Amino acid sequence: MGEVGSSEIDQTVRRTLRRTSLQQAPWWLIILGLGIVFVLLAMIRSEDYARTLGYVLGGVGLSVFITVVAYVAALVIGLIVGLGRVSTYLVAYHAATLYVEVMRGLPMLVIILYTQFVIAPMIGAQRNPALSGILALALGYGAYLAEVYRAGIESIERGQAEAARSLGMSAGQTMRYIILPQALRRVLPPLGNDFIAMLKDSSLLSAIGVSELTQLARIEGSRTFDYFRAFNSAAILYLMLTLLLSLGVRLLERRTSSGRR
Amino acid sequence: MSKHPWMSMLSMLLLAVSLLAGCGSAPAAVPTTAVVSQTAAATAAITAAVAPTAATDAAGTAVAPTAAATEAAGTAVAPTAVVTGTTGTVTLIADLKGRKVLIGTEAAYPPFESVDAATNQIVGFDVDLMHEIAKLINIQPEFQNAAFDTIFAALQKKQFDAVMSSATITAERAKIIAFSAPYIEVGQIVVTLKSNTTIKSYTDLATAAAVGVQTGTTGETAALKEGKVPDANLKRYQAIDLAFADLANNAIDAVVADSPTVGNYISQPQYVDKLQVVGASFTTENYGIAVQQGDTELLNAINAALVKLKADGVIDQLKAKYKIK
Repeated sequence: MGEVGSSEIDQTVRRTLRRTSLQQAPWWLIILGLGIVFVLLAMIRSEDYARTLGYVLGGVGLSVFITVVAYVAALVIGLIVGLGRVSTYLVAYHAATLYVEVMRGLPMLVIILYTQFVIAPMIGAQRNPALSGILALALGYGAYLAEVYRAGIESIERGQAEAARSLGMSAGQTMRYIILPQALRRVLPPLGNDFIAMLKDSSLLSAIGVSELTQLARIEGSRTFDYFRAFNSAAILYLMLTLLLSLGVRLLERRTSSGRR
Repeated sequence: MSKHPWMSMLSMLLLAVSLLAGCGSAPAAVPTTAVVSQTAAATAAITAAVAPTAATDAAGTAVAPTAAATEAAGTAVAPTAVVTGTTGTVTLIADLKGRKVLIGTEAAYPPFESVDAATNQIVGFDVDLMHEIAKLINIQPEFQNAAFDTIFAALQKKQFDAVMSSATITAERAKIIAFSAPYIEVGQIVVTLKSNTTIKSYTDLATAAAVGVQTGTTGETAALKEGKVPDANLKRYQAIDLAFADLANNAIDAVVADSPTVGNYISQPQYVDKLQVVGASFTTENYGIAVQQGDTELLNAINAALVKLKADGVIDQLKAKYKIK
């Protein structure tokens, strides 16, 4: 084998690293997006479908509102419980572990029914099933998010905490200024994932009579006896919502990934 | 575990086998927690096999058929077989030759259909009536639990052979399925908390803040039409038991449902001191048995059986048994 010039090495390296614009295009998004647009156009053309879609669309606002509020609450609950899970204080650790094990052990629907029929009457909030739903979703997902936070915190190398402590920072300061910022950046993908999952779990609130997307689809279906049409409409709307959220999460990841490709 | 991997594999295999065996033998149980109302809307479909009541299993001599078998044209059917046995004479109105009929029902509607907590079987007026019909037309009915709002669409899609679930005969439903002749007449009625003094009859429903109904029932249409409840105030539940639970918790102001079922629910111990009926029934409707459109053999047989049972007073006996007025 003869000697290879440096410019040839450069060319080879550049060729393997560079991807053509054709390869870089987000094909999955293009295909999915075109598919959705095509289906929507077909739906709007049919009068029956347009009517059903219009009726079911009315539930989108409430579904999104419930999901956003419940998720913000779950993020807060999750952070507190997650910190408890990594804490050295016995009370905090055991209380947090108890909460996580109980909430993860109950199916979401059971939590929702329990909140509306047992907890809400106790606090006088039974008139507002959407509130019970938000509470139930926040409590349930808070447990899952706590474990996500814990995974993020524990994934930060020990050296960071040791360096911070050796500089004289307290445990609380270490957590707040060194560990958590790095950990939160790491767990953005699973947090975004759970946000999308919660949007789909919000459909369970139809069991307590909340007029969200799935409930409206059921009502429309029972009125027209055409469940194919009703659930197609609901499905396309859920798909559009989760796609938007998914793109939003990716954008957030990209902006906070600080230099990593 | 790394020392003897075959041991861990064997124990996992044993665990899997025992789980499968356990699942196969035990029927799916209905959770009956005291805090959530009796039949949670989230229960999985329960298949309760109703004991087959074939009329021809009695030992005895069979007389040759004296008249033609059921015609598709639906003319009055003469008895096709008379079997004399040790248990007595049973005359078949029609002979569907022990055909298995899968009947969809929502077993959360006592006294017509509910799940007996002790035996996990579907019991009630509708079940007993179907027993009687089955004796007369030689079918093997099997009741299966299903959600009510999708039950007619499911019947149309041939998921069931029939639907007997306190189903009111309406023109919209009759477009996609076929109803038998009516077998009982009921009406919608309003229930409120005993402490509620503002709602005295169905005309006051329009002023209620929240009215509970079951999705896809005539209660829902009655609340919207006769009750003039604004759509935003109507709380729709997938099963009526959750509506009663919310009413008892003062989460809603009133519930609109069929009068016999209302009577049954508010006589239960957890509701008897809290709920009351206000006003009289404000609609008149008839229950019918639904079959797939085009299933004229089953439909005519059921209709013929119903005629006989009404004439013999069997339906009145069942009404008395389940305390239905």
